[in-house]
Amino acid sequence: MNTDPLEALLREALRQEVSSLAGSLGGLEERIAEELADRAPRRGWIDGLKQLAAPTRAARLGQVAVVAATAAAFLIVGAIVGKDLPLVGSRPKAESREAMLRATAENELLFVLPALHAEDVSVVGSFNDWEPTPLSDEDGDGIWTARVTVPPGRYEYAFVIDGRWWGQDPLADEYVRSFGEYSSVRYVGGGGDGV
Amino acid sequence: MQDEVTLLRASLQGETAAWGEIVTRYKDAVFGLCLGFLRNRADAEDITHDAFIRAYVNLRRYRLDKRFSTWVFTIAANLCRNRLRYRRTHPVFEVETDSGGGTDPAREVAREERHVHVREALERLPYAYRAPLVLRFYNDLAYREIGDILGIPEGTVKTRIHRGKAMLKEHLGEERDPS
Amino acid sequence: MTRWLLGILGVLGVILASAGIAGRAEIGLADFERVLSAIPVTASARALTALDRALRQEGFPATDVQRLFERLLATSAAAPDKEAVVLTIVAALEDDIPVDGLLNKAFEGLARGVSLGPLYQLLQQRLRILVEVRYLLFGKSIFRVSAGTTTSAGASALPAGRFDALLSQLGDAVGDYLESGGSPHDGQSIYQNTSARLTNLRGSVLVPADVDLVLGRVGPEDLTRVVLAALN
Repeated sequence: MNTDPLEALLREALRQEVSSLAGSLGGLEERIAEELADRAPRRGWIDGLKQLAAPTRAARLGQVAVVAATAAAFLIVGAIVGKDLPLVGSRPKAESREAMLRATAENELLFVLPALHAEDVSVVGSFNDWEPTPLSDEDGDGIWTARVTVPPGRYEYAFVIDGRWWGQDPLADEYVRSFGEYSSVRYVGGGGDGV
Repeated sequence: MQDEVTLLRASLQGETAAWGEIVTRYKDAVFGLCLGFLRNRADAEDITHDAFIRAYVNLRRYRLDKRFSTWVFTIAANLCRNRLRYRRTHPVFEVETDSGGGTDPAREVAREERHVHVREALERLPYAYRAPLVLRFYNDLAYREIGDILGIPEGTVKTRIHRGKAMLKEHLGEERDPS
Repeated sequence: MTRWLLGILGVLGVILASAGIAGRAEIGLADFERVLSAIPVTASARALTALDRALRQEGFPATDVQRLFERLLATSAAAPDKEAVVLTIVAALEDDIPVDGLLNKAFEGLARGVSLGPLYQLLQQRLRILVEVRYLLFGKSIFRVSAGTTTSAGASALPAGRFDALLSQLGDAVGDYLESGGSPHDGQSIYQNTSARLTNLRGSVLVPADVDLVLGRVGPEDLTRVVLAALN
C-alpha cells in the first residue's frame, strides 16, 4: 500500500507526543471519579457555587483578578450564610449545576448567576435592546438562571441585581469597558467556517 | 473485558467505576485530539478532564445509534473550540517547548527533530485545517466521522485535509525528507 | 355555519398574509412621524426623507430604530439633546452606514442612565469611525454593491448585507477598543482586537471568505490611520 510519507510522519509525530506526555493522564480516572462524587446531590450546594464560579478550572478566573475577587465575594457570602440555609424543595441540587454544564443548545445563551438574597435578578444586553430579561431561582438555592434563544453572533450584556449593574460574568467569553463600566461578551456559533 | 454498552448502562446508573473504565479506554484518544487541536499541554489536560465530566453528566442524552467515540470526540472538539476562542482574548505567554530527549543515539535525535518540525508546522495551520488532520492522522477516523465531529460536510473534510497537507509541506520545506 | 367561519378565517388570513408580504408593515413612516413630532424634532423633513428611503432597503432595523426614538421620547432630557441623537442615526442612514452598532450603543447608554450629551458624543465618534473604516475598505478595493454590478479584476464586490456586516463589526471593534481606553497609536492592539472579533464571528455573522478577505488586506497601520482620522 502506498503510504504518503507526510501522513506517516504526522501520525508518528502525534503518537510520539502523546506517549511522551503520558504523565498528563496519570490519575485521570481518580480525579474524574472524585469530581463526579462531589457533584452528587447529597453534598452541600456551596460546592455547586464553586463549580459555577469556576466552570473551566484554574486558568479562567486566574486571568481576570477582578472577576475572581467578585466571584470570591459570592463564595464567601455563600459560605457564611449557607450552613443555615435548608435545602429547599425536593429537586436534587445536581439539576441546577447540570443546567449550566449541559451542553447548551445551538443558538442559546444560558445565564447562570449565584446571587444569594437577591430579590430581583435580570440580564440586559444587545440581544434584548438592553431591556431586562428576568432570571429565576425557582428552588431558592441562590442560583439564578435564564435561557435566551438567539441567532449566532456576538452579544454584550450585564446583570442587574436588585437594581445594580454587574458586568463581569465569570462565564463570559470576554469583557469590554463600556461607558466606563464593564460589560460581558459571549459568542454564539462562529469561530470557524460556519461550524 | 466488558463491552462498551454494558459499561455505559452501568455508568448511567451512577457506577463511577464503570465510567472510570470508559475513561481509561478513551483517554489517550481524547487527550491526543485536544493536544492536536490546542497545541498546549495544560489546556489539553484541562479539556480532556472536562470532556469526560461533561460526557458523563450528559450521558442521558447520548443515543446508542451514534458511535460513542464520535459523541465523546464531538464534546472534546467543542470544548477545544471554546477554549481556543477564549485563548484569543486571554493569550498565555508561555512558549510551548517541544524538546526532544537527552542522550539518544543520533538516529533517535534525527527522528525526534522531524517530529518536532511537523508538529510546529501543524501548529501554524489555522484551526479549520489542523483539526481534520488531527482527527484523520492521530485518531484515524473516517471522513464521515470527522465531518460529524466538526459539523462540516464530508466533502469539506477531504478538501481541508488535502489543503492542510499541502500547507504542512510548504511549512516543512526541505526538512521533510522521508527516510 | 362552518363555511361562514372558514370564510372569516380566510379573509383574516389574507389580511395577515398581505401585512406580512408588505415587509416592514410593522413599522411605517407614519409611526416615525408620530414619535418624531412628539419629541419634537425640528429637522423632521430631513429625518423622514432618510427614514422613508431606509424603509425600502433590505435589512433596515425599523423596529429597533422606532424603539430607540420612543425610548428617547420617554427620557427627561431636553428636546434638542434627543434630536441630536436622532439626527446621528439619520446621518448614518443618509450615508448608507449600517446603524445596528449605533442603535445597540444608544440602547445601552439609555439603559445605563448615561446622559444624552455624552451619549451623543460617543455615537458621533462611532459614526466617524464607521465612515473612516468604510473609506479604508474602499481603499483596499473591497466594495459594497447591489446585485448586478460588475467590478474590475482585483476588486472585491460584496453584496450590501455582507459588506455592512463587516463594516459594522469592524467599526464596533475599533469603537470598543477606544472606549475601553486603548491607545489610538497602538496599531497592533487595535488589529489584535479587531481580528479576534472577526475570527470569532467567522461563520456565524460573517462569511468566512469575507473575514479572510479583510484580514488579508487590512493591517495594523491601516487601523491606526482610521482611528486617528476619526478622532480629528
